[in-house]
Amino acid sequence: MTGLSQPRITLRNITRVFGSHRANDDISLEIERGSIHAFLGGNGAGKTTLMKMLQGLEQPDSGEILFDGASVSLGSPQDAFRHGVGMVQQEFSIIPQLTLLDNLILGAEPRGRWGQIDRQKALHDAERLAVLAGVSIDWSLQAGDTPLHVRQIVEILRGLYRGSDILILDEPSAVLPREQVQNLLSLMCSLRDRGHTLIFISHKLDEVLAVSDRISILREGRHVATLPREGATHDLLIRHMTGEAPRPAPRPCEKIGSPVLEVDALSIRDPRGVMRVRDASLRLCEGEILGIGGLPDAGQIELLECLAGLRLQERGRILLKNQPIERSTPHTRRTVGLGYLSADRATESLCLQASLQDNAIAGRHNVMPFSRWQMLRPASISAHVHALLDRFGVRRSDDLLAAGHLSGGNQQRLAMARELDAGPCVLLVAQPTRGVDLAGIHVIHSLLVKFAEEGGAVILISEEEAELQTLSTRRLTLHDGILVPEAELAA
Amino acid sequence: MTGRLSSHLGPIAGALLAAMVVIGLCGFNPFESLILIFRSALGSPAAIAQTCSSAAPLVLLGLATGICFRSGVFNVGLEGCFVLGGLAAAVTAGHCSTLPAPLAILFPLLAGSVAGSLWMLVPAWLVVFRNLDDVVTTLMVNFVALDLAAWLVERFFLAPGSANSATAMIPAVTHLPDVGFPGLNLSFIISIICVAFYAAWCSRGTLGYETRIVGWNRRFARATGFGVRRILVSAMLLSGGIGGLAGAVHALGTVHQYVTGFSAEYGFLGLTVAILGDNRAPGIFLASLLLAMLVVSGIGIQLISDVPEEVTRLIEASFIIFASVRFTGFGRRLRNWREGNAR
Repeated sequence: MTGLSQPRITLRNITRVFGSHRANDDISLEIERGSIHAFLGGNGAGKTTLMKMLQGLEQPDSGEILFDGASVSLGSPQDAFRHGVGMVQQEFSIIPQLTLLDNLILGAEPRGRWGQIDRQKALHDAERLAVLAGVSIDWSLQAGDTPLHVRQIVEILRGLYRGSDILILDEPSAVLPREQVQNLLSLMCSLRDRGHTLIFISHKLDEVLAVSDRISILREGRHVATLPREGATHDLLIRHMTGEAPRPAPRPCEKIGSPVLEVDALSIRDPRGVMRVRDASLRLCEGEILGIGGLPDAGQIELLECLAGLRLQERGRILLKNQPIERSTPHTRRTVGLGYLSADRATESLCLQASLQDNAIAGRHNVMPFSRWQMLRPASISAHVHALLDRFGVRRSDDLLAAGHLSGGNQQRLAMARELDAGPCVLLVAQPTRGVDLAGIHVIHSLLVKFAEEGGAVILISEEEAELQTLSTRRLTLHDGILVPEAELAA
Repeated sequence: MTGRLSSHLGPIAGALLAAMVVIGLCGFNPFESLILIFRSALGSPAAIAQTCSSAAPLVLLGLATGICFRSGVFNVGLEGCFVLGGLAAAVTAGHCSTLPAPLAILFPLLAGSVAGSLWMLVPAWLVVFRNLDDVVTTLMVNFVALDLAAWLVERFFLAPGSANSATAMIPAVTHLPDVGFPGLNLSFIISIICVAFYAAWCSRGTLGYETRIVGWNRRFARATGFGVRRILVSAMLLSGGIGGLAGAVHALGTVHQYVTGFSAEYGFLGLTVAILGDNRAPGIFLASLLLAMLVVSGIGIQLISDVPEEVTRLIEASFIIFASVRFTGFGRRLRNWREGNAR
């Protein structure tokens, strides 16, 4: 039997147990050479543990891993690397201060006769890789100055540069603007056509269905099914992932109340002096979910930050409940009734080093019932936070755990719990479901709809067309910094 | 828990080991030197009392530094607060000779504290409102403070008949009294009270909570409506106030005047204390005692043996190097490597 007819990777009865939790339970499957093999599953389904074993970061308690039909033991990342496994990090490991070329060769620099870095040869190799992948890259640019998708391509090429033929891509599209996702997917396809084996982890079913050859679904540590793409449909995948039929998406109601937020001729310039938003005017009423779409980076984030008080406008007025707030601090705006969920969940919506409790009371820590006379009141904080997190279904082992230990969906729920607990009348939301699994998305959407039904008003920014479509009661588009109304959507 | 303990004791043990090797290489018996240090710092009740009294300003400076470290400001400007606080206390004490004892001590302590706090206004404004680099600003301002203190003494407060730059000796009523034990003065009690306050402030105070969050993630703090500037300025002024109090305690308890060389770089020892103690109240307290042992024994060791005083300075320096390991990636990598091996 020749090596080529063997599957590139075979997993046999892989089990990995952490304490009483079976992260991987008797998983057996095969990954073909020269294919894109997708893994689907909610948070905690066991995808991450399985991938860590392929990278040599974890070892199975029982079962074996075979590469090309031969059993291997992956004791360390170096072992895995020797067998051709390359990882494309979800959080980029690109160093912004170095050029793209230096990033590509980092750790495996070609050496000249005197031990100096042979940049000529490096550049030659880099160009060859770029041609192979069908992209064109200016390798001399500093990585920090290039857009995200270029950095990601370099990250992928780095795996190839180091000689990996198995690439693990963990949610590669999560941080990319929408129009770049297509480019990423075609890059993946062209690598597959050149015989590389790609393991693709994503929450986005459309992407998975678009490029994968086979799709494996994990649920609660078990391997539920592996389907060829031809046999897979949206609903079938969801049924396998959740064990139940897809739930209908929550729909907002159309009970519109009185205006709560009025923005008049707001213009925003960024620090470099570029005008990002021009004379934006809008009026938001109770019960409305106003979706603002448009190309990525068209000024949506700037608009939201300006409303939240984190960025100064050049001119214009903002009225919240008939109070002018355009000169107010974020604190004052929050007291009047503004909530804000940043697109940057990890660094702006939450403080990942701080405990769940600390995160849940932030911003209201200096008022009753959380503190009195400049002293915190631990008993009432812990009672209040415990009830709050239970109400929002934040799964955790301990309220004093650092927020960074939570999964993406739970982090977003924690942030929403804090913002909604303050009783805002307007909630500013950016990319609420980025990196969140299907079950989590449903919860977050339901929370937003419920908030609007109870008389809250929401401004929603999202790069997911489907999200804007289902949640918005009204839509606007930002085009070159100008707000363009779209036709009112029928209920 | 044991992990945390070992991460504190690790640098201390490593520093001692490294220092002993160097002492040995210099031709002194390292064990003998170490025993001498212990004996002159802890060998008699009087020595213990002196060590505890000398620890007091270090405790206060460690707390002052810790407050800023927590909020993410690398404040190395406490040397200036210490000096100006000491001068303010010594000058005020000179006017308190007719007051009853508690007030005669309270006023100079307050004066020192206020002086330290006011002095911190300048770097606080530069760092928080003008966005200047915290390390450079606070460090440079120290030298201004030292020269300002020297000028003030020369111009206004020079002791009559004094050749060197010194204020008059303070009246006996303003000396910090001994508490229970000869040589153990009130400064030690003051420092213990402050440690207790600091511990409570960190875990219960709203400002303690705010500085922690701001130190971890300033963007988050801003977005959730913290007054980041107010918090940073408060932390720096509080830090300066405690630094000034440290100077006042040193003036009233030990030196009994302000004189050139008043500080012996105590402000920077406070930095070491905060790093060694990981900004935590118990850690800061223990680290201060440790460094006070070295300060006290350095004076004694030279009198009773041919081991030079520099040996204690060497151990001090070695502590600083090992304590800063935690600030670099090296300590983290070491920990990861150990955990990897444990698995």
